[in-house]
Amino acid sequence: MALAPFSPGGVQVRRTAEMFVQLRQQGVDLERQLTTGKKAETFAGLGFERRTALDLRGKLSALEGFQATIKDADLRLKLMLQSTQNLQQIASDTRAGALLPSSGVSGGQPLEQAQAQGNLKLAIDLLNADINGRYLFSGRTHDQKPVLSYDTIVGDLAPLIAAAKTANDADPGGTGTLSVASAGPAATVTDGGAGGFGLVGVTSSNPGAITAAAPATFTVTAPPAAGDAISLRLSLPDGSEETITLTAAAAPGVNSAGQFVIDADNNVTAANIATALGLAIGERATGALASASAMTAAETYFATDANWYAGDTAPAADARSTAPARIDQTQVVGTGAQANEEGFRTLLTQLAALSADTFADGNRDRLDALLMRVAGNLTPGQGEQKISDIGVELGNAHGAMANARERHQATAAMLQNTLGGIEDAPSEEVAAKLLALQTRLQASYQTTSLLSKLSLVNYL
Amino acid sequence: MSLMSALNAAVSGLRTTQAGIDLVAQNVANAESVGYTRRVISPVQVVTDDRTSGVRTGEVQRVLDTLAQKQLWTEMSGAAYTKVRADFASAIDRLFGAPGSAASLDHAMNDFTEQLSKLVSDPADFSTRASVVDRAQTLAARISTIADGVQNLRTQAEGRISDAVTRANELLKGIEATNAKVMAADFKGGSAALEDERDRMINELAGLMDVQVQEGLNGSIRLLTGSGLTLFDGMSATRLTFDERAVLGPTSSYEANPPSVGVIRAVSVSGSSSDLIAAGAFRSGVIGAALEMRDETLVQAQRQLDELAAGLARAFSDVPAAINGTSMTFQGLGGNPVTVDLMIGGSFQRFALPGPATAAGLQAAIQGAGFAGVTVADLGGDEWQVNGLPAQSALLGASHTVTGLNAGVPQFPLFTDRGAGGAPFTGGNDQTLGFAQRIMVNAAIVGDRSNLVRMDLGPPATPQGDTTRAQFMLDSLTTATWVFPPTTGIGGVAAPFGASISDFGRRIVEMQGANAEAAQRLDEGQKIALATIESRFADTSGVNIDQEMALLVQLQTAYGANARVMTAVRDMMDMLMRI
Repeated sequence: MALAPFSPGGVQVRRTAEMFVQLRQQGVDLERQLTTGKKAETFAGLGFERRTALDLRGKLSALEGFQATIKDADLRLKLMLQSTQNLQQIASDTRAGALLPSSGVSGGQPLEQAQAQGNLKLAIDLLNADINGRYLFSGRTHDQKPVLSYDTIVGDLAPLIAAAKTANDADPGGTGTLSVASAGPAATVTDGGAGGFGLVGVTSSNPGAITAAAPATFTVTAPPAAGDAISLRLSLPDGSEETITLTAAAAPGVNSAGQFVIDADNNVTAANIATALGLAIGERATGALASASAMTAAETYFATDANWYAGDTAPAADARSTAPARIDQTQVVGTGAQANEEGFRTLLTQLAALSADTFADGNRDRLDALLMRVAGNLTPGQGEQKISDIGVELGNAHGAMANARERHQATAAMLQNTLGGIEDAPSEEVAAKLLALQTRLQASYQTTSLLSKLSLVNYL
Repeated sequence: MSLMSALNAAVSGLRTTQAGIDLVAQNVANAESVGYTRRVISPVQVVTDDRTSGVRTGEVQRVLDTLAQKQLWTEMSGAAYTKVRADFASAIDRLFGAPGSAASLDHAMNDFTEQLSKLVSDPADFSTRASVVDRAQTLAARISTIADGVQNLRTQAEGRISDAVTRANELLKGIEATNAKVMAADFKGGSAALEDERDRMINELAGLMDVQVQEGLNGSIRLLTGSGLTLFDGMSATRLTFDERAVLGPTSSYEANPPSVGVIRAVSVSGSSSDLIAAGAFRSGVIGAALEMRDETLVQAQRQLDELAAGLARAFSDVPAAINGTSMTFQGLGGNPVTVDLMIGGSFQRFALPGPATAAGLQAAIQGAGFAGVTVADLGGDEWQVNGLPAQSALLGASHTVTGLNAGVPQFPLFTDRGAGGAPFTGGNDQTLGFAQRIMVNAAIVGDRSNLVRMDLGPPATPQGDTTRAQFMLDSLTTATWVFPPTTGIGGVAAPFGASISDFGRRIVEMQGANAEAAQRLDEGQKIALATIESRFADTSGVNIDQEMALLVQLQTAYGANARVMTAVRDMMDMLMRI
């Protein structure tokens, strides 16, 4: 069964044979160590260090997991950083372009609009970037293309802009819901209803001649001197203000959007003021008011995600944490982004407003007014998110990952070394052991053979 | 004095020398025979009246060191015991795979963890999800295979016991027969050959179990087990029976009533039988080791794997309760099964309750589990607080099992019970036993891998790229701490082992590796002890050819001398005749 049957006379011979077998086995084991490079084939053979080996393997595996995460996220982040940089470039180019004098409206398609349309298409493509079908600016809904197509957005927005202009009584040649009338020595502007312009205030440079009273009444009490100025401040739907300033001009001047003619009769002067105000308001209505309407329409449109965005609807403030990457035992960096974040949305709004408005009427004032708004909106104030902020956050994540990667590489190398020390059989040592074993085995064979001849039997 | 008496003396000398040469021949021929001890013969003078009339052969005697022989038997039992133990421990160790190999358990666990970490990084990716399911299946299969291997080893141990018992019966019968012959031969003087034969059988029996040999009258012996139970009373041998089971499974147990594994019984002449395992009769030898493997070591290995499998299942499906002293608060338990681990009076207890739908139902269930003073308060907001556990109890862990895949929480039954038709694992000792063999990946997840991510089917549905569940899975496996009962042999009895699942898995591999190494060391030590006593025994009792040859020369010379005496007598006779 388990043990060899015992014969007292054969003990010595058996012991010798067993010794040979044992030495042989040692040789075979050393040969295996040399071939596989491993000290042991079993955990038993690793000795008391097996616990360390097991833990090290666990740690190495965890590190590999982190490294894989980093590698995966790294590629994504690079692409996202590239995209945000490009979007940032578009934003600054658009802003710079808008600050320059406009190229004018010829043939109904200003150069700025053509550029904006091209940039809008590019921005949508950038925000719809994907890696292996994973959309990068879609938050947690990797499988959803975040931004709707250019045609859909512009197609949806154009009628909204037209409707907003009409509602604000801005298009074409409207008065922005204001009406101007003169009665006796007084010229009064009346706000006819919601939308359009609002009346903010009036001033007069020479109250001795013309008094200005809220909301918007100018009363001529004495003939003004040439150069006296009155002004009317108007509010626009997008929150901006327009100031109309009229200068008194001596007869025989002409009433225009910038001046009124002084008459000896205060009542006539008041009528002149009313006429000039009407002209000025009409000009502002088709210019500033119409562009403000377009901008407001675009802002309203983009304020509702469902209109144009199909990605994750988690609060955009948490966009980074929609794709947390665990790059170390406790270190988590946010690598997510959403196209509906404020920075991206502002850019899209400006580009879409420029793209969807129509300049077929050749109104250059309106173009200038719109460009001015675009430039203003692309100059973010305090506490407003910029595209570059997103870029900085993603860049920080990228930097943290690069640090972690280096750290992991160093740690892994160290752990691998330690593990090698436990599990690996150094070939020099094994070879030396093999050599020693060979010598021992040869000596044993020779001695045994020598001793076996030394029997009395051979000498009788 | 006469020439004739000289002749007679010379003839008797020749005869005695002849017998001596005969014995030398036997010794040389049997030098390597099993159980053969060297024999010697001492010539004794023949005394007629008051003078020596010649020489005769004395009794053939064995050269035996009885003290060494007794020790030899003890060491033989020990060596057989340590060898079987080392063989089994090494086999268990091998089940866990070579260090660093793809087939090892820790590799399967690490691999699974790594894929989970990839899932966190890209939860919507189809191939990552497939890899996670695949690695989970590999891990489950790995645990099952190892557990099957453990039960195979138990079945092997059962077979070994059976073989050993059969052989022991044959040997006892042989000893009974030989002993009778020894007693008969003892009167005639000269039973060396029979005694050798009897010792040979005792040698073999000593390898099977630990035996004590007591000498009786007339060369008879008595055999007892190491613990003192009589195997052979000098007249008749006890018959051993063993009802071998063909296949052992996780539920096969000696502890069961009646035992569901084979039991060794002693059947006396009168036919009454007694359980020798219960009597602790086998403390050494093949049987002792095989019993220890079958009923303790391998059972514990199974328990470790069961707890690992259960821990894996619960890590993903269980929502822990908030524990504060002896009070625990379950959140959102409604209808889910509950598992509670606690220490009472220094002993570990785990109770599992089917899902109560109301706080009152939970109270009734816990009271039904033997905790009469327990009350459950509904705190509102789906929070149920359990109070009134015995003051001396220490709560180690309490959780409830989420059984739905899309219950809106990260927890979900990733691993299920093949035995229960693929139902979720809900804890409880009954389900834990053998769960290592039955663990499988939830078929609904294999069928639709998006369940790895989607906690809620909506609306609003969990987005495909949501990392909550993936992150939860990774944390449950690597950082969340679970309590493992002391019956696994890992951790102390008073302070059960608390660790992450990954750590527990590694500790199992480590412990079995350490066991194998220790068993190997013990076996090596025992081999040396056996070799030492064998050498000592052989020094006295073994045949040494040189010694025999020297004796042969001596006998040859004696023969020649006796023959020379005869020649001289003949010459003298001739001389007389010629007178």
